Amino acid sequence: MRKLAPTEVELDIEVSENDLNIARERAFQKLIKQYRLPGFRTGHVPRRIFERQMGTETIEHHAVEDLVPQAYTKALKEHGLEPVDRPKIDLERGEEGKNLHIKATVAVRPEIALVEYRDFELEKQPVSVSDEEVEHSLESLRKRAASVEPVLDRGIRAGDIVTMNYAGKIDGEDFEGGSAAGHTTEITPERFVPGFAEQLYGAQAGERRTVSVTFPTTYHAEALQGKEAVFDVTIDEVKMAVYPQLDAAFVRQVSDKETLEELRADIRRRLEAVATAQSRETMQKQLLEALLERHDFPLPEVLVDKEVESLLADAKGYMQRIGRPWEEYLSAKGVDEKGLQAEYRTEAERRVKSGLLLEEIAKAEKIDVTTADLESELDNLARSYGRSREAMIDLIRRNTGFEPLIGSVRKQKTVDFLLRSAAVREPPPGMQSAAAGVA
Amino acid sequence: MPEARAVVKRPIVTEKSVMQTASSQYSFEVAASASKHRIKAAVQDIFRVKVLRVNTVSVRGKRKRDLRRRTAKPTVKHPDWKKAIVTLREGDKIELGGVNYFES
Repeated sequence: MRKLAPTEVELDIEVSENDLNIARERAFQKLIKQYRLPGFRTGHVPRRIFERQMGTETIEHHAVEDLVPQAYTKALKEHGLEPVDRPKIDLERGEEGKNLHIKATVAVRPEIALVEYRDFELEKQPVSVSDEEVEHSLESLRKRAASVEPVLDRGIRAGDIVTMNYAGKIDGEDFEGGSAAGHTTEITPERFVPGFAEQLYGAQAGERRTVSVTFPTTYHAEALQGKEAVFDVTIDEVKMAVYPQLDAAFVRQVSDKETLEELRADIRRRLEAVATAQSRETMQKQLLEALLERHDFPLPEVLVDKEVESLLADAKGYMQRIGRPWEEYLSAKGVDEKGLQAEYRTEAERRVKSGLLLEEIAKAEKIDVTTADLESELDNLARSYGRSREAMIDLIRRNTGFEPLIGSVRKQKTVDFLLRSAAVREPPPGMQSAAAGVA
Repeated sequence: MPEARAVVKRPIVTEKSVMQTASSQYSFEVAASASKHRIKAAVQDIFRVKVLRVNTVSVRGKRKRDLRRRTAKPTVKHPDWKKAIVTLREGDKIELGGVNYFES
């Protein structure tokens, strides 16, 4: 064993001729079960004949394939190494292919000297939900429950939803994007070329109007900047959003509650749950920050690289989900892909470092993941994915396997442990209103 | 030699024949009309070994049903052939293409 770097070792494993022969025989026994040759029952072809037909390499290949992981695992155990990546393996044949040298290069977990980690001082964010926040949520529920109803008795007002046809001309010529039919939109002055919306006010369904506007010099289409245009607009339909009354019927429509008070209390409960989670999150952040600061050790490059990759993939996935080109993300951040990678590197290093630290602490504190822990985590996942527990288990088995899940539960448990052992300072409760008294 | 090749057609490699090589017996498909004497001469000529004994057996071709044939009699007769089991002097071996084709 040779140390190439603080987190990288090279193992030289020798396999004797004898072991090699045993592996060859085992490989042959395995292969022969599948091999059919006329004149022989399956599994009864002599090795000499098999080799003549298939070549000796077949057996050799399978023997080595079988032998390498075995020898590698054994060597790891002997040296007490914990790899964090797949090994890079080179084979070297001894003379006449008699013995075999396996050279394995692999990144290993660095040695971490744990510093005291039970005396952190954390500040707890008070959890409070104001009446305004409750009302605000209630209001957005109301907006969401709004229905759109046709307006017949008056002309267009700001905020109405209008379906119209329009044809625009500049100097009597059609221009690109200047015409549309059956276009439905909310009439908000900011959404239009200045003056356009205003000139439609008061128009009723079926009415035809001529609208003249001047495109602003800052208009996004360069060809149109500063141009004067005349639009021929026909109003098809005028509708408006009607918000429901805050009454029992509304409560029943948006929730399974009966009265407005119950709904308010429910909203408050939810907001408080979110706030509690946030407060916990902040404490976790403080904790990890402090933990990172106290420790210093070399990080395996491969892990950091992988983390950078995964951050990059996340960002790309996000852009894809919202249907935007990746370049837009880069230009919004003002960096090229290389620059972004460098930017992510710091975050990736933090993640790798905290991950390794938490695992080390888990080991030191003998924090284990029990079946019960795993089951409750599975139930949580199943709930948030809207699947049955069995379906979830199946999904995990087919994708990542259980190892990552166990790892993340262990990390969470370790964080919980650290939070429990830390001294938490709670700022004196200010003038928070209690949950009661909302009419 | 060309005459010898016409007598000994091909080696027979099966579980049974491989097993018999342990007692210096090698099996071949031979011309159906070949006599034991001619088989002995042919094997000695081709493989440069000493043949002590030749046993032969006329193998009767199997009758198989061939359902692709839509005639009144859907049976096909595989050809008859002759097998020779040749016993060599102890220590002599037969190799094919530089490899000991027989023997496990």
